[in-house]
Amino acid sequence: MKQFIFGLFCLFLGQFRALSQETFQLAPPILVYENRFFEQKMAVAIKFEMAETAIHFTLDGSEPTEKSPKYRRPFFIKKNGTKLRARVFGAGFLPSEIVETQFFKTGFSIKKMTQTSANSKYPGLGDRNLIDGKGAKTDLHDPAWQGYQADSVELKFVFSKKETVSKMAVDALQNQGAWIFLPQKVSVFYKKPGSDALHFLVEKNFPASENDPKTACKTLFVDFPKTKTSEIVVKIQPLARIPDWHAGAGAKTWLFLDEVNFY
Amino acid sequence: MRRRNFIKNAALSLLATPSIPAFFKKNEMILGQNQKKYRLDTRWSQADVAKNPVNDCHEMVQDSRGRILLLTNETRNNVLIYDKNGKLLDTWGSEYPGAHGLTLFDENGFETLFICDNSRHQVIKTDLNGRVLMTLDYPKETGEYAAAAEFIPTETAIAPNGDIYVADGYGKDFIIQFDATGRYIRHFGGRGTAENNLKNAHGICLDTRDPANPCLIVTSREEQCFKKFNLAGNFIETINLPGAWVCRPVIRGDFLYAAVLQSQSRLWEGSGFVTILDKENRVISNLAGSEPGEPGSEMYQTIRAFQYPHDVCVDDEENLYVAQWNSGKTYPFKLKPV
Repeated sequence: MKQFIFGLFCLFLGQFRALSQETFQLAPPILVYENRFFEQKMAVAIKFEMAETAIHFTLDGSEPTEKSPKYRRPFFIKKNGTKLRARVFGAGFLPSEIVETQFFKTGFSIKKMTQTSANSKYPGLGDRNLIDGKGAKTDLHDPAWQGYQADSVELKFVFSKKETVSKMAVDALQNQGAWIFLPQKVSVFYKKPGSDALHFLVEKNFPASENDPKTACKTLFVDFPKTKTSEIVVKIQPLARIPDWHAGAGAKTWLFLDEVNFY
Repeated sequence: MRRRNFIKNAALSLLATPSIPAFFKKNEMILGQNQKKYRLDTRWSQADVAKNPVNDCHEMVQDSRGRILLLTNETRNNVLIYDKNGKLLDTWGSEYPGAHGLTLFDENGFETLFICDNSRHQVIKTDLNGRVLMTLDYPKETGEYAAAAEFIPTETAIAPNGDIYVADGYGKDFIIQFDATGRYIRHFGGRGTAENNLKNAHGICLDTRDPANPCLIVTSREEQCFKKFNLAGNFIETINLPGAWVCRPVIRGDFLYAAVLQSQSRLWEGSGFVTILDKENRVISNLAGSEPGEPGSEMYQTIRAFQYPHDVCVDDEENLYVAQWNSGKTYPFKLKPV
């Protein structure tokens, strides 16, 4: 009798093992938008064509859950700095990873700029690359990224007219697996008309890069005293050496830049 | 006595119960849309990883005995031969470090294999047991190659008359046509931006779905499309597959099947899936991929069931087998039509 019950139990267990299958995760939805920088507003759509799934998103930076607003149709982003986060849910599947992008208003109009030449492997898209308002996506092969393996990068901006400026935003790529790190220091200067002298505004040191496996485009902000000027010079210092915790410790880092805005 | 009977009866009734608790109900993974839906079986292969490991699983074919042949660049056993239930029957091959393309051709009842090797820069013709019958070196006659290293063949397609079309998918993207004895006839395609050029001519297959007009379907993976050529190498048309890094086309019956290595929208994140096109070369089903929409709409992975699928094999019962590259040395999965 005991053997009978035991045998039945084993049969039961065996059935369970044969029937249980792994649960798959949904892929993340695709955020569709023209640009991360906008004048008045930016239309955003979220794509995920699969039956019996729902996209939920947030605009306040919080993590999207099934209680967050459900995506139904394209909408407009109007507020400077809005962070869009989205996720797909579906019965029988693990929820997808969260995809996110942050949107910003375009800054003051820039008439022209000069820049330290980028590395020939990642030349960017020419003289106006950093100010064309078309932000690169997170793929390091996105041609809009300007890549540098240098001690210092100098960018000179001439605004279309004199502006009262107090803030700079610069986009940098972080992909530590590909040896691409955020910069160490950014210094901002201004020039007076007819003179080449640089007048110091601010020097900002960024916190040491922590081990972060996620590839992301980060917008770095630098605040400085309000100044009325039409010429700004920015010196960006890449992280000097790859940190100790990284496989490439001690080697030169890569700095990837795209899109600079002044406010 | 009564207790024993009670237990026996309870146990028997449990066995006989038709209602399985939801907890134990098979969590079926059904992939695809329209009339091309499949149930996924990730545990099809019964190979012992300790005895017969794989590295990248590149391609698979089925022979006339119904056996499934898998090509991997694992030189312990480049070719694994399974039955349709996943039982490993035989293995051979240790001389193919760059084993990439595998095509089967029936020469009037005598079955042969054509293996493209990326590292050896050659196409090797063998019988089903691995005996070498012919080797094709880099095609000097084209005048396009300075050295063997420039020729990195990925795929072959064999015409009914035995002519061999070799796709140099990782080299110069030419399609080189040889006759059955290996004599050079012509070449076409090649890397470029014109409509008859190719970028990463990863795969090629013969399409006889319109018997009056046999043609070749060639992959241009960087352009996310297939290109149709006639057997003399003249360009016919482009079949766009936006978003899909499509590998090689495989035709069975009216349908064209292809593994999609990854989605353009999520590169290098294991975003692959499988796509199926109908006789008019319209996408009708994406397995673990987005629902087919208007022609020209972007395709992408929706379920993370595959990482980097590299080939689909369709057997005589319309089951699919998916071989994957760079996916943790995983063995192929089987998909059964529902």
